[in-house]
Amino acid sequence: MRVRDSVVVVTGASSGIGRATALACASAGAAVVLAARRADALAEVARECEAAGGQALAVPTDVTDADAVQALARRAVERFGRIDAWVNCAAVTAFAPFLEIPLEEFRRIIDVDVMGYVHGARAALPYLRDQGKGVLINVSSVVAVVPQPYTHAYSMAKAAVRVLSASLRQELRLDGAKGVKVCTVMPPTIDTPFFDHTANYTGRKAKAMPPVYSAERVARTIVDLIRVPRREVMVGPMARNLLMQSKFAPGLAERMMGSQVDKMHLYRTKPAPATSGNLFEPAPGTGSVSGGWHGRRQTALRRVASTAALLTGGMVAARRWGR
Amino acid sequence: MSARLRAARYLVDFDSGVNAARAVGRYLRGKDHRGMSVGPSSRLLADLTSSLPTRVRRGTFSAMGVQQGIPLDRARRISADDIADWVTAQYPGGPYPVVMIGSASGAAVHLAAALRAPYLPQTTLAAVRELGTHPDDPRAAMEALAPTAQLVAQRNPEVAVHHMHDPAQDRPMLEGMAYLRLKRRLLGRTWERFLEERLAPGGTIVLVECTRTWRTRQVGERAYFQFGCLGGVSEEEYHDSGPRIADYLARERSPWRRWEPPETDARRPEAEWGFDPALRPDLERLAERCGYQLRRLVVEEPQDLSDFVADLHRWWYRRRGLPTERLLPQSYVQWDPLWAQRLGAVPFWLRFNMQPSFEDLQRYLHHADPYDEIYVNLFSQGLWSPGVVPVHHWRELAASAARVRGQVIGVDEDAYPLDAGSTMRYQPAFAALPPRHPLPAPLDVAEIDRFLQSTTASYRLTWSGPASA
Repeated sequence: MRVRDSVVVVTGASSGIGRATALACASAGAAVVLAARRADALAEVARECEAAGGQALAVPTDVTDADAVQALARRAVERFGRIDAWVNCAAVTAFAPFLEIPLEEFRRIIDVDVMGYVHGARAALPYLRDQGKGVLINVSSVVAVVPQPYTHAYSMAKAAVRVLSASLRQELRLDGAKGVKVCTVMPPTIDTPFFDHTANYTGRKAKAMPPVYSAERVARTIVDLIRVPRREVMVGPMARNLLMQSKFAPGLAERMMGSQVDKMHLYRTKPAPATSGNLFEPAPGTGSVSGGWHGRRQTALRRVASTAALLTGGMVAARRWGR
Repeated sequence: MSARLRAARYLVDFDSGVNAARAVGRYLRGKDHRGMSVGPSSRLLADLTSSLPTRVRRGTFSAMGVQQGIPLDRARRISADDIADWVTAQYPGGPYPVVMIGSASGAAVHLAAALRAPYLPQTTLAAVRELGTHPDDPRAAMEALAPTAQLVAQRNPEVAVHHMHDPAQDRPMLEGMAYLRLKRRLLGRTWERFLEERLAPGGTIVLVECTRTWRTRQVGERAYFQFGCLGGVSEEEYHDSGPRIADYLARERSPWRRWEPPETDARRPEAEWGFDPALRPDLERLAERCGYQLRRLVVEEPQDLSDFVADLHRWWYRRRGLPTERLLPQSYVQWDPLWAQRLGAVPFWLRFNMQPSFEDLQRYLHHADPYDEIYVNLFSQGLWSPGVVPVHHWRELAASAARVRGQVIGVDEDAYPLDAGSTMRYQPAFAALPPRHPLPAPLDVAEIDRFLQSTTASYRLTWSGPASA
């Protein structure tokens, strides 16, 4: 599908991956319909999208409200005449020992991260099916493959999203809606403000666990999926490595993830007060794509290091072979 | 890692409770408390350390704070039971005629050594690394550490956790760590077994109770936040800071000019020195069950014990034929009961190097029979906190009160109170004082009664009569 002149609905568009996706789609010439709770942040994203060359419609929406998500789809169709792609991206999380997180906050995460996607799919699919084509993209996570400690609800939700995509794919195929594609994107740690807004009951400040990738990289993957839909896409070599590890040494992968999260996803020297973060109230401000975790710089550094290692290895091998 | 080693890792080496156990334990093994029982003791090393530039020395104190704290993810391993085991492991086999238990106090350490009694401190300090909040932002510190304090309290039902935050005296440490003081409220199986097995039949438990309280805020079940602590700043000044604190904060280049601590909800036992009476019923039950005597030594302020213990030592030395004309004021945890007794020196414990301690020593010297020699040793906490008394004042006090010689020993006067070598220097300074004497035979609990009956002096304490099963 051509991205230019297509209509793309993005939930969670006020910051992070959602915002980067909206901007990437707008830059590619798509009309974007932006959904998130923060009206002021959405207005700013809409301005940025228009400046990037696309049309934009901001529709403040809480994805846990099924009627509001239906209204979002209607508004998109009323304004642009159709929906070509729907990107479910809105997500919240909490870092907390299992027994410490208040139950209503656990439920809220499931509500946003699972039911929000369900509401999105139920709002989008009737239009996509009627049109006979379209893409539903669900942003899941590598934690759907190798779950983490302290983020039980989020990991459960991301696994549920992956399963939801698979179920929908099968159902659509059985139903003969071959032109309607459902894709799952599984990014690793992404440089977004997500970790600053998270609910937290661990007593330790959360941070982006390395290796960190940029939100723009996920956005590029999503734009590529609109062009050429694929079943599941892991973003970045780390996510692919984790997938392989989970297949061949699942126990080891689980243990490694556990200790890595404990040591590297939560600060060991910066305590944090107990907070419900942005679970019930959106974070203040107008949002941003990056969370200041230097995803681009880290990726560039990793690439330079990998290239240097490959070149060195190649030269050593060539010398040996030459003797 | 064994439980004891783990406990030793998260216990703080400069804590009063930890040093009480270490000093008495080593005394009972015939060893001194050099380098706080963990570090080297060397005048040369001390001089080298304190000859470093001021900024480096200040940095050394902060670095020690970071090094003493355990990473936050290990806070879940803090175990009151491991600490209890660590404390009992400090003491050789026994059996002992007396065991002391309760509030930490340097005077009580000297008393325990005189009685040859193990000392079980009710409060010990565990520290976690804390680089996330500013020392002058007590609200942020309380909120940030509340989950950790709750976690430790939740996992250790036998203790209350007091998060103590004092940017006046502990500033360099607070730049790298947070203080979690664990106050034992239940005797617990380990200490109960220790008392059952190692206190001689018919023995005496001396319960040291300091009734000092402080305004605090509850942050969870058995978890409290205390802003400030006993020292050179009054409780009122911590909570309503004025020009003196503004000057201090400006000197420390803090972005704050006053402290804004959180609202408090109750007065509770002072985090470091105060006694939590919740522990007493367990001891009363045990004493009754095992036929032990339980004697209570109750004071309002931690330092109230100092003049009593000093006069008791003088009386005891005199009865044992030792000289009684040498006074050795020792501050904070730079106490050494072995050297005090070996030198025939009367120990006078100074809670810290602050004005209230100075005034207590002044008052004591005013009332006590004059001493020929007075040697004052001072702890260095790494900064000019409000209320720190300059060395020359101490020197002048010692010199004016002593009949023959009064001086400050074991202190680099140019570096004080940023004398980073202070802990390595105090023991060699004590050891350099001739002559030495054989250790006196142990004091008996009954002798305390006799002393109090014979003396005309009055002390700010209550010594409860024998009560046994």
